Amino acid sequence: MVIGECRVLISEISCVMIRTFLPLSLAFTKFLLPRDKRRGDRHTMYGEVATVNRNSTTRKLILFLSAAAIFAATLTGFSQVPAGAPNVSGVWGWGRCIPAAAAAGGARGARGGGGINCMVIEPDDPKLTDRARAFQKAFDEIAAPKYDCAPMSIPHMYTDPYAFKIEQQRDRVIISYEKDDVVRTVWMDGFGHKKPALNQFFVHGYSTGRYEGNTLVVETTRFTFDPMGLNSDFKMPTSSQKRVTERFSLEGDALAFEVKTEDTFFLKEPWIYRVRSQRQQGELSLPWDCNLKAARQSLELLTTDYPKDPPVVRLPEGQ
Amino acid sequence: MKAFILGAVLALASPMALRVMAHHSTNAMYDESKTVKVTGKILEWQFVNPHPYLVVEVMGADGRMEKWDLSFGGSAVSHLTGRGYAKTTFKIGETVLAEGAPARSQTVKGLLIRGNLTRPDGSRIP
Repeated sequence: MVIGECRVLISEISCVMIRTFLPLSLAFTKFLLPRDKRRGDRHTMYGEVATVNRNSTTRKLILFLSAAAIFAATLTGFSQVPAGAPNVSGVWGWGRCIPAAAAAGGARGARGGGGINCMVIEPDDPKLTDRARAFQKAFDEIAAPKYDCAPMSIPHMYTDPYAFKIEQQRDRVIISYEKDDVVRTVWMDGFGHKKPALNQFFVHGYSTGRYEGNTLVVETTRFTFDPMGLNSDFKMPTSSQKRVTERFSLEGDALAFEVKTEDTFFLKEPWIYRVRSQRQQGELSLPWDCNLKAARQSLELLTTDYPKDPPVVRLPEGQ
Repeated sequence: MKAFILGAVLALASPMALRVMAHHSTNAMYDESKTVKVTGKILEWQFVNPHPYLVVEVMGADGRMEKWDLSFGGSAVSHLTGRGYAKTTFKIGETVLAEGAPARSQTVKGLLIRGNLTRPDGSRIP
């Protein structure tokens, strides 16, 4: 535990108590108590000074304040979620689609569903632009970065059958994915976080977050161009204009979330899917530790779409 | 209950599920309309991400030994672990029987494994 930064998951109240009372207690012991009374904290090889002030009123006060701080932290569930905001922290399994009707009427109370079709965008989906269709035809499958262990990004990440973990902290939310060892940081609004420079783009984008009632809203932009940004099977890319909005809320003990993707280069209209994930016991199965030979194994079974081009020479491991 | 399990298996085996679950288009690599059975000795067992695989040595129709890549499709280590596989499931040199869809490639032998692998005594693996 780093008290100064309250890195353990603790609430505002308990964080303040720990930040205030523990240092005060220590300072009180160190500077305000007479030196002879401070000796009560010390042990000598002879042991004769170890019990000097064990029962003093001052010592009891210090112990009381320290215990109160720790008790407050325990009472608040060591959570750093602001009052009224959903506590969506935890490990969540691969989601299943929330039926459209239920989602339209509010995800809360929705039952059934359980399919995965909402997470699939087909090659002939009417939402795709002509550019997206042209890209599918032009792009050579063997050039896909997945064969080099490149990680999958959002929104595609949630469509693969792997768990993920959300950790809410005071000024940020960490989202870790079992697949590809991906860890995203969501910078919460209102903390003066530094924005990326104009020329900074990221595979997983730059994410900011806020709480809207009982929903954690995450907005991500500044993605690099990704040839498998929408779907790696069907060669569906996303551009640097991609904007992904995730809305996480609780539905009983389940996590209901919506992923909305906008990218006017490749989508005529936003692609939205809503899924429900169940809480998983234990931690994520990590590390993913992608094996380059295994990632490239499928290439042996594929042929290039451009046989007249010189043969592709892939970079060896470590380069 | 049996119907539910069968339904779940069919649902997972549907082309749509495969396309979502495996981020590699298996249909481009394997002829899923065909089924081939092979018996071979294990040369390699890679229990690694993104996709574990086996390499076995199989005697071809002409009596020559061929190397076959046996793929578990889009499954990762965590998925196979859930099905009982482990790093120690196979021993190099042991014989296994596999059934699956053959690779479309004319130069590389491969099989997309369907169902369970078995040992010569008929016992299922894992």
